[in-house]
Amino acid sequence: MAIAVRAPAEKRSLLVRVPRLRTVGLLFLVIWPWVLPAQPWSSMAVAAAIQSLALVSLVVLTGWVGQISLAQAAIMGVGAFSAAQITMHLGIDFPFHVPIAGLASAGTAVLIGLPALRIKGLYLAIATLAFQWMLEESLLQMHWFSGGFNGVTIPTPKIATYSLSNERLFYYFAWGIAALLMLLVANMRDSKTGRAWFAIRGSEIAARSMGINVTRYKLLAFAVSGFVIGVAGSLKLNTVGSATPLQYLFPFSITFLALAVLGGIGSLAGAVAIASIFIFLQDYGFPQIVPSLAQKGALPILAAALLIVQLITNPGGLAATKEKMKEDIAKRHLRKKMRQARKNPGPAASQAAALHESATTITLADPEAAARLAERVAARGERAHRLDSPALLRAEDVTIRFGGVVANDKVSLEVRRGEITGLIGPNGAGKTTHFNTLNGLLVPDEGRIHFAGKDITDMPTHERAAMGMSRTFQIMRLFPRLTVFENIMVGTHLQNTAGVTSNVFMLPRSRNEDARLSERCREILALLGIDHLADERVAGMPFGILRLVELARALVASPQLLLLDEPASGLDVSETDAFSEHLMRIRDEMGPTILLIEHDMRLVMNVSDYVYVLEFGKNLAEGVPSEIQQNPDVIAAYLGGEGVTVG
Amino acid sequence: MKFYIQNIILGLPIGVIWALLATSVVMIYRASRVLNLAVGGISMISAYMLFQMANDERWGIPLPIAVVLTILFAAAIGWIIERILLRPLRDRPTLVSVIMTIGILSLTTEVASMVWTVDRQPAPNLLPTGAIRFWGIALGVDQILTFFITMAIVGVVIYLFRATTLGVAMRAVSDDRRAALLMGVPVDRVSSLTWIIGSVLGAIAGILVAPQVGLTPLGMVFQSIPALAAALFGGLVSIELAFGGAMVLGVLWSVLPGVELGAWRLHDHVIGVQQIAIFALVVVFLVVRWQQLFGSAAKEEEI
Repeated sequence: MAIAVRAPAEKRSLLVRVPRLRTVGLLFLVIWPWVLPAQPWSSMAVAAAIQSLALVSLVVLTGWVGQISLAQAAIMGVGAFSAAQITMHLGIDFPFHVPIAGLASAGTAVLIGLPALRIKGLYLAIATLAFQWMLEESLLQMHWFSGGFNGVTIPTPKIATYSLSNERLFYYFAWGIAALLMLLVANMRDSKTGRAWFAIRGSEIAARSMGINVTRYKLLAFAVSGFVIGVAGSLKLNTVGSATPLQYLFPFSITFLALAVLGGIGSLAGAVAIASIFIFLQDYGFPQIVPSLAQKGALPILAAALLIVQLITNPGGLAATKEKMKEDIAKRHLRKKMRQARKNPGPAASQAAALHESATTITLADPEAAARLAERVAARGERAHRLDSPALLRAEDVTIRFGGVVANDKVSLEVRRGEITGLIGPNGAGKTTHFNTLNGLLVPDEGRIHFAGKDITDMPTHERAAMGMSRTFQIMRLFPRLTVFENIMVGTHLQNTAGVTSNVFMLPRSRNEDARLSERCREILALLGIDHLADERVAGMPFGILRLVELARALVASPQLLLLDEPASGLDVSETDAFSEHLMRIRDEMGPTILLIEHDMRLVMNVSDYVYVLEFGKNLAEGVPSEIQQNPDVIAAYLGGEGVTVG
Repeated sequence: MKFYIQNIILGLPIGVIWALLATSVVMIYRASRVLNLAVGGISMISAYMLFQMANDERWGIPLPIAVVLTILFAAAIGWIIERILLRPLRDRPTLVSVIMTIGILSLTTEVASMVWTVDRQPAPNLLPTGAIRFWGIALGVDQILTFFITMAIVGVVIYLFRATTLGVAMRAVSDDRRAALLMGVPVDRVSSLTWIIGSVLGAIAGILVAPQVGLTPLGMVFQSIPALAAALFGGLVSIELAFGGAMVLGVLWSVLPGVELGAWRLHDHVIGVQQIAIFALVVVFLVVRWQQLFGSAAKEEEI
């Protein structure tokens, strides 16, 4: 279930590639209501549009941003009753009350989104459950708004003098609105906004470190999701002509979630498919086949049972089934080709063999890396002093306490512009804690941090990123379901000047920025020698490559300062050499200042201009690599004895 | 003043039922890292089972036996959920198992609506009815008994957790499943057993509360929402804090609607004041206490 951050051209759907097919398809959608009887077919199609929108709201919120909501039904109700109220009291009727209903629901959704800024996962499930409960109770009792148990009734919608009680006409409006909204959310998905959402879904910490304002994008997601389901609510009001709170009770929230998961949460097409199937079964299939069961509500039972079965057997839902079918076809195709190649060897066969090879032997190890690294180290020469350049980053007496544990005790360090600075120390010395403080994930209990001439002690992480601070993580935080290229595109967030509006409508600004930045991503990939892997999924790639991908993602932000947390852990000697060489080359060619935590002494001593040593949360020593290697305290700290050289 | 005292006392039997459900949620979360949103469903369907067995003349099962059978039924449900539905999901993201429990909740609610309709059914009363007057305050005998029975059960569960081998094993599993496995703790059995006990607790809460709130599918499920909120107050891991939270919520539930500020009655002006109060408490608690509860930002990510 990859939600593509769409790669250019080749991923287009069949409908776009074959314009004639698209025309025929559209014509069919326009004509069929006149071929089949309006009852039940057109009414069902309208209901399917409404159901689709309800599920799309969860596709956005849960599928793309990873936020669960069990309050969708109540939020939809707010939209429906708002539309009814403004129709009755202000005389604003269909279609003009539709966006207003959307906004009312969006506001309600943001209300539940506010706690979600701090709460997530399990806790959000409970909070939204309580929200649904509260809202449905309020709706039932707010007679002036919802009409209580009896609900509210509005006159038949009209456009000019045409009554829309005609299901055939309303079909065009409902699907037109649904298609428009889906197009707009798809636009968001395929642009900077969507990448920020996927980043939040994958790891909020990584997202913040890439300069994504998590608060803003989460609230945006709640608002978009609320708007979509509010519109669905107002459409439902118009088809039935009335609304009661009983249509928006808790079980509907659950059914929405169950269906969205069945459709393969994250896929718009899956949502439309499952919504249509559900409506067909509910309004036609079930009543026709098993009328006695249908009356008793067997369909929700079926949906729940299917959800349970699916979670165990096919977690990706309908969308995953389709993906798998595609993959099977591709595999069969490849096998056929291989068979042919075996029969008549030639250029095709060697091509296939080469393909196979490149797929199996992706590695960072490079026999010549060691020699190139030695050259670079020699070219730099032995330094007796650190660079004489101004400080880019300065930590002064930073203290961090976790309960009674002092993880950092008055730690100070200075990173000078253009340097590669190493931060070493035994396990548990407080290195990563210090990194998290520099990066803004932790706020120090005491001490100050200065960056690029500014006191940033209280600045949130994403603003530090905007000032030019990028980082990688000890336990990598890549997004496994995205390709290498897509992962790196997420890192361009700060470079992208397109705004949300431009993303929603896919204005030229948005498209041009994406084109410009994807060019830049490819350059960085080429610089690190992994451009041939750009379109491969990250999941399952070897560690060495993943480390480079994470480095590339930090680099595309054109940082002033690059914080690398154990970038070589998990790499073998040869891979480490290759990585060291990349680091020195990056600094020389692209110019970021680098601060790295590392346990691999060979790497640290090779690339660093200056080294700080921490032990038990305190500064132990500092100096150029040769000094550190001779320092008896450092040696004691690492080995608990004397007389051994570090390095 | 008397009004408040009376309502505080009346709130205790409400709170104690939620405490029982919250205990079930916390236990299960601790031993299997699954947030069981289906607890209300299990408790509801058990109450219906008892109703079916005791009230249907064709079945004609004496009440005490029906209670025992209901408890066994709940135990079986707990075992089935853990063994068949959740164990295959153990290595998947936590959200997947939550969605699974939502599916179970949906299934139980819909099945109950289909079999017993959404209309209120007369739930059998296990406890003697009648009222005791005490200092001018009328208390139902069933409420008093509910309170003490539930207190005793929660006490036993806390003892189980604190002082028995099973309790130690449960805590070990909740701290680090893999380490517990390596130390020879029968992780799967502990997990199964927790689900069985948790479901039985839910069933007891269900059959005790059904005569008081009325036996409808949603009405019973909604009893679990304050219980989940209470479990949250215990950070999903502390039975004691969850218990305290549930009692506070129960008292609030009972007192709030009648609060008067001069001539201004809260209930007349704030619609759904009880639900709003619980939701607000959940949000305020989560937002304000988040840092203290869950430590650093890095830790936050794991949840």
